[in-house]
Amino acid sequence: MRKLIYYIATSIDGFIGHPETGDGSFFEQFASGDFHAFLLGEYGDTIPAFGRAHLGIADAPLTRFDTVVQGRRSNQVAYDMGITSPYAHLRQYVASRSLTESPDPAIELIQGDLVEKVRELKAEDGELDIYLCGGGEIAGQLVEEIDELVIKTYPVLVGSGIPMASAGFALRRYELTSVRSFDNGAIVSTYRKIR
Amino acid sequence: MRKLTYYVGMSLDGFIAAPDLSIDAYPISEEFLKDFLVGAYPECLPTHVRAALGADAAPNTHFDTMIQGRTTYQAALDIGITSPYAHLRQYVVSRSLTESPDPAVELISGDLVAKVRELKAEEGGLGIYLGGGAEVAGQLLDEIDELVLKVYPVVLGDGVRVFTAAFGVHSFSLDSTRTFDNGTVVLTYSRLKG
Repeated sequence: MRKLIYYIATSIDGFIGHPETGDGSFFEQFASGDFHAFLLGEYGDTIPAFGRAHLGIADAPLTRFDTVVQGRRSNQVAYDMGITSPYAHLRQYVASRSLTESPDPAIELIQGDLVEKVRELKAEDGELDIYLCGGGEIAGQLVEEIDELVIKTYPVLVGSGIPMASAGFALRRYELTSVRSFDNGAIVSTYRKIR
Repeated sequence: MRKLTYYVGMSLDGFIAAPDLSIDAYPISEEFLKDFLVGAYPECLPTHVRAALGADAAPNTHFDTMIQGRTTYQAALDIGITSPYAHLRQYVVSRSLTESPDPAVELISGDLVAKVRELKAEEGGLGIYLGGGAEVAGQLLDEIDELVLKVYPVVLGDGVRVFTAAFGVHSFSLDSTRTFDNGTVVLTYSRLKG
């Protein structure tokens, strides 16, 4: 069994990107100091391949994740930069109802039942977990399948934007497993779903 | 000068209440109640709740004034309470009410920001507790000096947002984090003056 882990950057008020464009680049100012070192050390698997190359860790062994699942809109951000295989170091899935053909042989499209496909992936044997990369829509569809949350909270309020998980209302309870704060005011908190 | 502090409980995904405005979704433990809700911010509990907890006489620690929106105040009116925070100076923001339901409650029906600036400019005393809701918090976003967020370990998916506001990047600095046995994390932030 593998876990589905939603690893996400959010504002204090729970938004993961700009309301129209989905862009989250206003978070990039925080990639510094002890926080940056922590992310590289603990979550290097979640850095896109071009970022890993830039940081000189392109061939670093995977420590947490070997698979990534993302929504089409989230994948589009890379695609718009001319990158068709953004997480080349992971097995990549993109959920899309509109795409008919994968933009890259390294990406497998999930066009059918997303929850069922993710359950299949979770049922596989393996040491490493599945990185749910967002965005808010796919996280909403998969919210009941999420086993752990890793939330990077940046010290900004944005008022409105893309929600962390576009799901219907329900009380979904989690157990707090850790909280860590950094020099730049960022916090990383981790939670495990209570089933 | 006094500070305006938005002290509020919210879910991991930034909701302060369910879509039906209820807030009973949050897990409260004895430790969290005793050490934080009563122990650290007793004046943020309504007077009738303080009485029920035997904390009627708890001195105000951070605030002596409270501002809330009409919808938040209505929750008290609905249970027959017209002066929910009798231990504080109370303001209710409303464009629709013409007369205050209680002599202890002053209505703010005009320019909310101007009124809050006036209160903030007062000498001495304790700070101003902004009790919500989302709409008033959104209108006062630029006046908020401090955030005290009780982040409960739940994901709601939908409901009332912590702020009703247009997109804009407002920077804060993290002052403290405190965790409790019910999985609640209390985050305190101060506005970065830029």
